[in-house]
Amino acid sequence: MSVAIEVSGLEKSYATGWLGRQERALRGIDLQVECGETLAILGPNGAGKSTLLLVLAGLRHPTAGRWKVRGSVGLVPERPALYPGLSARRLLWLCGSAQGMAESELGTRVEEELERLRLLPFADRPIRALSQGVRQRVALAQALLHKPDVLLLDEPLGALDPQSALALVDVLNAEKARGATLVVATHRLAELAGTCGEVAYMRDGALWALGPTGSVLQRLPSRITYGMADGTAGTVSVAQVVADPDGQEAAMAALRARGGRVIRVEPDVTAMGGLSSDGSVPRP
Amino acid sequence: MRALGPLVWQVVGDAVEERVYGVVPLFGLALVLGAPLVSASTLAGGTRAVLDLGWFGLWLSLSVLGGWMGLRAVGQDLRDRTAAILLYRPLAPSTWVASRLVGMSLVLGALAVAMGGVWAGIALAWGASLSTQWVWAVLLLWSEATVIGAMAGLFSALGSRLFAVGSTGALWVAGHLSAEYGRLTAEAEMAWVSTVVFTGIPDLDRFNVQEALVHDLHISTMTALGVIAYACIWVVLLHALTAIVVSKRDLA
Repeated sequence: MSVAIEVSGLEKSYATGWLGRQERALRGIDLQVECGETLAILGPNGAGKSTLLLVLAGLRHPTAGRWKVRGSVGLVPERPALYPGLSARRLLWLCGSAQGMAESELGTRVEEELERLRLLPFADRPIRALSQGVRQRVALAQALLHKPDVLLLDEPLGALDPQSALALVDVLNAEKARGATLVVATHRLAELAGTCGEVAYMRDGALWALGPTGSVLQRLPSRITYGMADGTAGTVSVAQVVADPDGQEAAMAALRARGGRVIRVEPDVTAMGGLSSDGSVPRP
Repeated sequence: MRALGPLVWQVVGDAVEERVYGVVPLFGLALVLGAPLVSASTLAGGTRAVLDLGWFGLWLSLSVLGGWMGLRAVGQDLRDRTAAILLYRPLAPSTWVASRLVGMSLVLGALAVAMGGVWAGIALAWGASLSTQWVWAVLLLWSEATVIGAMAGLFSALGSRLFAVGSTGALWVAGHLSAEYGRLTAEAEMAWVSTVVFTGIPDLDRFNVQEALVHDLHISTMTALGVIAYACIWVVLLHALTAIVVSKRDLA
């Protein structure tokens, strides 16, 4: 199988403050994504996930290292900046023209994407009048318009309600079935776990783990979403309940003993701790 | 290059949405109200007052609009990161910058024609007879405004809005003084320094044909076309520099 994305020794630093102190956003990233593969990138805020996607899209210049993306790219940034005065339909026309799409094909594709992402009722309103969730779908439509070979998505579920999130997962599965390579930076792996074949875990600009979803998730700290008898609910990390961060079962038992009901257990990608270089979870 | 047309029309559409055309009636109103005052206070004839004031108003309006549009079309798109969803496709930065400059120039051209028309109407009502000088004056002011817009575009790609406004303003002043400064320093020691410095900035005084217009002096077609060609050379140069700056920047 051919490689869609190839990254080697990628570094990115920013000058900060008056003295231009260098902050390293990416530290020697090595990564390969096969054509048609779907990779989820997990990690706490500031881990470098967005920077990596923006470098892959050619919007940020790396300080060192090499990267190669084969084929056309579609990008959904975390906070998509869309021309606020344009309508969704006009924006899609503009993006398609910038892509070099023929007018006849563009007209058909614009309408197809507006319909697929349930944007037709909002298609002619100015983007500034749309809710954050609808804007997110417009951002996805511009990324999908030219049927890209590689789709880069940064927190695509971030502003979506549960129903829209499910619809989006269907769209991503359809793109995967079309043969597109997907790279998704997300905090919400639960919805995308079935879509992603591989998971990468980033922390402090470095890639800490990369591999099949199941094996990487087993090595990540967990967090538990629970409900109490009085109707309250919450989310805690395992380490907050029991001393041993690996004691997932003990933590669930402790919550049940307090009258709680375990709703969901998922990897705690925002945890302060991360994986150590040998893949084990460091002790607090 | 297929992308250029829609991108150009986007700039035009933005300008329409911003209601830049509102400057046309304001210009007409200022001319109608100001001409009698200028005429009375300077003892100049009414016709001359209308020509003088009209030229000055058009020059100032187009210069300010050119600078503002250059800042907006290039710098604001980069600052707001709205350009990113176009430039990752990948769209060549030179095409994107060209679309900004062409769109801006079209808007400035439309405004120059509209304001020039208002000016001509009022001048005719005051009894002036208009000749080709008037057409050249409007064309040259449009060219100057396009150069100013291209300067503002470059500076807004390089730095903050404040930096862009300050640099464009400084270059605008220096550009109007460059010929004068060159004459003053021609005989001085180290004259080559001033020659180098003032060759490196556009000589905006070339676009000034106010005297010829007011005194009905002939402006040869070759001279006028030469000045327009000079403007084109500067716009192309500024476009190339802006495209290089954009290609080197992080865009998101």
